[in-house]
Amino acid sequence: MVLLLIGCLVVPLLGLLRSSFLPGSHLLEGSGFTLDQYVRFFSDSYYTSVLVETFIDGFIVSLICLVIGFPTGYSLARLPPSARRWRTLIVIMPLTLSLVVVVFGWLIILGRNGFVNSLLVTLGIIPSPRIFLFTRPAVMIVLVQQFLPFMILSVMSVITQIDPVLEQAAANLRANRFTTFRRIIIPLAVPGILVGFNLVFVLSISAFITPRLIGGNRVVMLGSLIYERIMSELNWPSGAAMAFVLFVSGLAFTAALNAMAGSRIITGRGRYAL
Amino acid sequence: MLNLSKDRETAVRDANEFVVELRSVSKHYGESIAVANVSLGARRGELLCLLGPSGCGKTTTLRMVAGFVEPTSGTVSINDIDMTRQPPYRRDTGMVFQSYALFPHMTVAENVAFGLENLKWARAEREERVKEMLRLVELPHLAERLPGQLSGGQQQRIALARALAMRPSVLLLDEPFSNLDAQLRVRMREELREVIRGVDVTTLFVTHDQEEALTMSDRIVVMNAGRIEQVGTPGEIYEAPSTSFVAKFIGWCSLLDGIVDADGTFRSSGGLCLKGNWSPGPGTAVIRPEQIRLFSHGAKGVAQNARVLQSHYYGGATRLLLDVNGEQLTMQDRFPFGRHPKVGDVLNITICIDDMRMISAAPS
Ligand SMILES: Nc1ncnc2c1ncn2[C@@H]1O[C@H](COP(=O)(O)OP(=O)(O)OP(=O)(O)O)[C@@H](O)[C@H]1O
Ligand SMILES: [Mg+2]
Repeated sequence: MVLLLIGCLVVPLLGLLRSSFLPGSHLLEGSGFTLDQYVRFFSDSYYTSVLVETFIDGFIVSLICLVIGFPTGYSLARLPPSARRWRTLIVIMPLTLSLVVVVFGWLIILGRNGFVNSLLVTLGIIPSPRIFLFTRPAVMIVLVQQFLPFMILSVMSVITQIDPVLEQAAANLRANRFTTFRRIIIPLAVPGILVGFNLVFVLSISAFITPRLIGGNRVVMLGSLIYERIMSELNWPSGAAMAFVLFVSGLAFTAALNAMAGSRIITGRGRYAL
Repeated sequence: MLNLSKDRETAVRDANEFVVELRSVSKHYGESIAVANVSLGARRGELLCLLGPSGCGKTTTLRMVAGFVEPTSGTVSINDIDMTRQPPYRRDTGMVFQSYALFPHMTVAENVAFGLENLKWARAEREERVKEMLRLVELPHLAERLPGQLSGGQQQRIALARALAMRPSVLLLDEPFSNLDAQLRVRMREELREVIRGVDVTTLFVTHDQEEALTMSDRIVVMNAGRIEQVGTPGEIYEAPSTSFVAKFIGWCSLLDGIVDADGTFRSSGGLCLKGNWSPGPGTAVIRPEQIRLFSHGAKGVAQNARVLQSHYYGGATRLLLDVNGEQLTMQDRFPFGRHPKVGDVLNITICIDDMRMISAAPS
């Protein structure tokens, strides 16, 4: 297990790290050790703004997934196991489809002559077809659709661990549905919420197919930039540096998030200060 | 005039007598009937026990009072206010769950304070009340612990403190001792009774253990298959069971079917004859083990010869299964060391018929 992890994760990562310190704009061009790639990244405001934009997008996508996924996961968890089984299957189903198929499906739905446009025009809500593709909301909608199952499943698995009797006890102690949610369910579900949030966040900030195809050239996320850099321009050192910036900052962000949530909510300390 | 005063009397009684009242309450789950037409009331400060075998609908009845189960028909009122359609958090009840259901992420003090916060008590009063409740259950030193760090008995006492903190009109307990070992169970039983007496709260208590019911309750409601068999004080239930189910369920006893003659003598279908003055008709005699004694001169009752069929030694007493004139009776007594009856022995016994219960079968 440890060997597998080292072989499949650590070694390629170290390779990537090494190539990010190479000079020049091609893998075979230079040798040696330089911080050029990183300096170039952080001194160009275009790159840093894409980085920030990517994080904001990832955060919003995770939040939307949480808002939709928590009630869904909760109600799934409270169903009897037999009813839960096939519903869970429906939740997982989209994950079994190839991402490219899903994205092309969205292209058809959101396209100029697509389903949404023809519906809105037929209903007379807009006079002529609009451009939905290549906008930031369109990218986020597709990302939410892709990653929602992870949130639902994480929430569901943690809620099934919470004894429903606790909710009854809260109700008996004069807590209405809202108070029970706020004081009992959510604190006890924090581990699952964090897992789901982190998964969706990390998957969103590193997505590249969706931003490339749905966002086109107008909506740029770091993932598609890296893809472009490596696959089209074959500029490995620069792509590797970007990938590493994304990796480290993503890690730092989720770690900070977990530490914050952990100290505030999980232990229940400082609750009176809230 | 007469009518008027009678009306007022019932009005006063209706207004004051019962803190919790169930009127013709039923609960159906599809085809199966969990509770059938149950009517009962708990008086102020009373400890009322729901007793019955597994699956007879005790928990369902209790949960209908708490509001977790909605009755199919009938009404539930608390303090004379109809609560049948109210959610649990609007009902003035405090419940101790079978699994205690303490909130694992809150300390003991926070658990006890939870209900008070929802009732919008001021912080100072809240803290004072939490301290008071923890003193009541004698665990003030555990205030900062998490429930996972408590023993079963301690968890139960915290659950009780949490339920009582809100000063509910009714305390509801669902088999509160079932998760404790036998010794602790007896101790907690006494403690719980003392605490409940101390705060003088009306209590509805569910158990399937007849000893628990007899020792703790003011009145017992015996249930069977969703219906009420009998309501009465522990004494009434034990000494004067109104059905053979109640007689069998509460304590050991032998039931003899037979007929009471015109002169008041009971003749069992097996041929045992007991002279008494019961009212004539078909009936079932309830003979408790302690109503059968070894014969001694001057003892009142019916003298008989009995052959020992089985003998079980319990330390403090010996329980014998006897063949008396073709009927099987159980007796329990303490025999001197070395003089234990053996299987096959013939004993001279007296059946005390003075306080013997005769359940007359309703002619059907
Ligand atoms: N949610 C439910 N759905 C269907 N049937 C139920 C449900 N809850 C209870 N029952 C049935 O109703 C009957 C009474 O159940 P209840 O839990 O009240 O029994 P009980 O007297 O508390 O038994 P025990 O001593 O075993 O706890 C049982 O036959 C049970 O199977
Ligand atoms: Mg029960």
